[in-house]
Amino acid sequence: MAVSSQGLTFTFGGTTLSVTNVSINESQDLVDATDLGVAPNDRRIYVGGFASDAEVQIEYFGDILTSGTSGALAITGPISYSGNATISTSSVSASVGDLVRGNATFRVS
Amino acid sequence: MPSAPEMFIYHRLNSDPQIVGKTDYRHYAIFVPKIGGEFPFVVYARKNTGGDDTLNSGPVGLPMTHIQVSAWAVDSSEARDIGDRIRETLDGKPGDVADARIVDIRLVSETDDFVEPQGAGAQLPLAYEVRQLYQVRWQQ
Repeated sequence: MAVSSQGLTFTFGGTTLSVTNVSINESQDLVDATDLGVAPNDRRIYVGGFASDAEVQIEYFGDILTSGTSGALAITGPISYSGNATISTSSVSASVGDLVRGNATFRVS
Repeated sequence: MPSAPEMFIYHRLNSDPQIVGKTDYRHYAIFVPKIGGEFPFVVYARKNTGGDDTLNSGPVGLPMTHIQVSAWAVDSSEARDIGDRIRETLDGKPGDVADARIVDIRLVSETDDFVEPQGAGAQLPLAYEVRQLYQVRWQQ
């Protein structure tokens, strides 16, 4: 069932940001465990279970966030996600006729 | 009283001696009333309003409105003079007027036009228009 994004709250280090876009990306390395027992034209075998990378990207209205800053990250609402995070990249932009916009990437542990 | 940002434009037009000297305060919102509708005059009207939204707290409270301001005169150069003065008064000159707080106002287009009344017995003269469109971001 489709769920509206509206109502999502993003908090970092105790501060709630006016976010316009939130993306959560998780990835994990897999080991190719294919062996000679796999039949011709069959699919490869992958083994997981290793440590995963978690990254959260946001777009928001407001001033720049200082990269390297760590704090508690919490996403509530239609998506629930939390962890201790450190800002890996951030930028802010100001354009004629527009509001000040920022974006940042967090590495979550 | 008109609401912001119309209030802002209304006060700016009325407080500019060069504009008032030509229009004699004939500055109308949306339409020109039949009584007192002689030339030259200025008409302003809101064309659309949009805004920026957030996921968590809704609109940011600084809506963006486009307002059309038209200077009308029976002489093309007079319409141009009024239009030029309106641009000098409004373009890139935000501020607070009455309870209207304008944080950004910019001219985004300007067009010359005219209306030639058609048909026998037409009462209106040939009229020239300088039509300007302003992008206004204001505090709601």
